[in-house]
Amino acid sequence: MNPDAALKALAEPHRRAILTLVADEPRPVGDIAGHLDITPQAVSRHLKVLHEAGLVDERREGTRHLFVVNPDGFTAVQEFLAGFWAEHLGRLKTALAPGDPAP
Amino acid sequence: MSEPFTTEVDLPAPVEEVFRHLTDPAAMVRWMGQHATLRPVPGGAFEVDINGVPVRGRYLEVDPPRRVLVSWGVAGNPAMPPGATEVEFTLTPTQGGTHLRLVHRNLPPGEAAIHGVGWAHFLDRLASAAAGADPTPDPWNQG
Repeated sequence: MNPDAALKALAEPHRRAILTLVADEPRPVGDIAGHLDITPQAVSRHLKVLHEAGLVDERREGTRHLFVVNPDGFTAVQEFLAGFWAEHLGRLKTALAPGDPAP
Repeated sequence: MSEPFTTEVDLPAPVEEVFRHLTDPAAMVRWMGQHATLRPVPGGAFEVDINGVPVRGRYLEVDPPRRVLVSWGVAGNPAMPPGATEVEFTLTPTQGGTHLRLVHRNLPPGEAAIHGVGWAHFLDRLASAAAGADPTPDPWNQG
């Protein structure tokens, strides 16, 4: 997955709303549009962006196309979190080192 | 729900001193954030401004000097509101000081990703600071 693409994809409020919907359960385009104030065509465009960013997967059930969150797409988020805490706990360690003057 | 994020570190100070760095505002900002409002009792404020991002939550459990559980969110971010996630610090005495285990949990996938936007912002700035550059004024702080 591409972290930059994911972050750009998430910068749009409708796409965040779509992600929240498909995190609960796989849903077809019409169902997603029914929960939002946008057209199915707009939903499809947003889903394309989310799919290209690796955040959403497409699934077929018979003739139905369903969209669902791609959990692998969130590896980057775990990495961000790991970086954030690694950096801050590193600072904590430095702050606690004996004889180390306060920064 | 995504898996909780877990990390561990050994710190060169006794548990009481580490605990102080989780509960005292002046000690907190030595390692995280520029301004902290902390009231380390259950239900008390846990508010830390980190590079312009207003992290807001409450102390949920405070067990000196062994354990601190706080709620953690970002003010003004409806997808990641104050209290949305939890961070647990568990302190264990060791011969050389303290073993700290940190668990950050309750990050559902969609919100975790949104949260990630904030972390990306932090990390860019941290990378600059770590490289010796003076971070420029935080764009999230302007206007």
